[in-house]
Amino acid sequence: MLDSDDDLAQRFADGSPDALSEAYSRHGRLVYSLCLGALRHREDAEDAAQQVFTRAWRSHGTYDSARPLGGWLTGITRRVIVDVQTARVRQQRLTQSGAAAPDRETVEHAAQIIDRVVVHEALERLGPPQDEILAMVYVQDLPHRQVAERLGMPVGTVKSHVHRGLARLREALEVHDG
Amino acid sequence: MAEDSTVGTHPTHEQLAAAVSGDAAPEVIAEHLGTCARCREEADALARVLTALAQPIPLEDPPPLVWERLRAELEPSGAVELSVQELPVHDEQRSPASSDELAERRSRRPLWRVAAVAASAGLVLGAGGAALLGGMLDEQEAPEPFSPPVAEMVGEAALVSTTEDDVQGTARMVVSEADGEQLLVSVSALPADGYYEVWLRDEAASRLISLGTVSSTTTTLPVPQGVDLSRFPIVDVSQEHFDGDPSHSGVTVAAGPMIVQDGDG
Repeated sequence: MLDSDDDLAQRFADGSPDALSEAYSRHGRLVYSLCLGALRHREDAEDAAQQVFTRAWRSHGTYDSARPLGGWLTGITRRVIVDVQTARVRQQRLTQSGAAAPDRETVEHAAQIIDRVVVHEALERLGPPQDEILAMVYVQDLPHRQVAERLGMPVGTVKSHVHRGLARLREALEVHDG
Repeated sequence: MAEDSTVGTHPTHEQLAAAVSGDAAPEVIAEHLGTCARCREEADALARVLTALAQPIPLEDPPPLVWERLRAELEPSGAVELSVQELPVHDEQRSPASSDELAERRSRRPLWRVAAVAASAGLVLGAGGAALLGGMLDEQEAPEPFSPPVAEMVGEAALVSTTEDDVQGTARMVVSEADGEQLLVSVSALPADGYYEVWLRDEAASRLISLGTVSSTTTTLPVPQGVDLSRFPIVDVSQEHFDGDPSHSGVTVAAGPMIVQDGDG
């Protein structure tokens, strides 16, 4: 329920008046966290997040509501991030001539940041007990046995939650792939 | 469907996750991956999930002004529902079903805030550490809405000259909500030869992170998120030449270990 866009996708594509605020409340956290992580500058991230939703809303006619809205917004966010980075590079090179594009390192770094934000945001949405179990196993690095003891469930159950949870996070990652 | 998987049939998503996470690696899946591009793609994506999971990153709701500006920008077109006076919030998604620690740990608060708290507790932190601390500190401090940005001192390094140029200085690492971690470097006059670059490195200088270039006065450099000061405890100022070589020149003009600040000091 939490990560499904049910009819919101269709209403957004139709430009129905309440769809923007709903899209913003569902996906604002992801979009803003992506901007913040990639740009590492609070004001730039605020501007970028605003721009993402402005662009999205103005181009709602091009949005195919069969695709997840979150993934579409992530795509716009990627482009806005690259635009901001390009503008930064251009500013730095005002006195020089030459191509003003973010270097490969910056682009790769941004790609990793996007993976991290997408996965951790999807982790939040997984819900109990998978979110907690995955956090214990992969963030806190606890052995399955210890997680099982803490939660009072068999090790086998912990493992199957881990595998199911990983599969869901993989789906989320693919939804947001450009 | 799972039991009789052979090279010819696709493993389930869970079986693939088990294989990639190292919990099970049946030959049959390995063989299958050798021949099936679709499953190999899925395995690659799973590997990215594992990498990303191990590197937590702060997640934050946008500050209210973003929605206000967005609304102001789109308002003239009349396309936005203006009856929505209140900011859209989605905290209700996370209503705690139970008061156990699981629900507590999912409470959403800016991790930068946690970073600041951690810094004042005298802890060396990276993004991963901050996220872990988030779990531990949640119960005690839950300031919402978050307080105005305040830079807190993480640590300080006295930069001692290592050449006859007698370059001296200090490097202070601070953390704030607004800017994350930053290194404020001030050094005495630098010889006007080439340019000077600031690094974080280990004792042996076998691992280095370049933070940027420094002028002869005070320079503020952003510190990449997630740097572990226990792995890169030394601040190093090197003399570089305009040769396009991005690596350390090998000429350190001043360096010193970062002393992590005590919480009450």
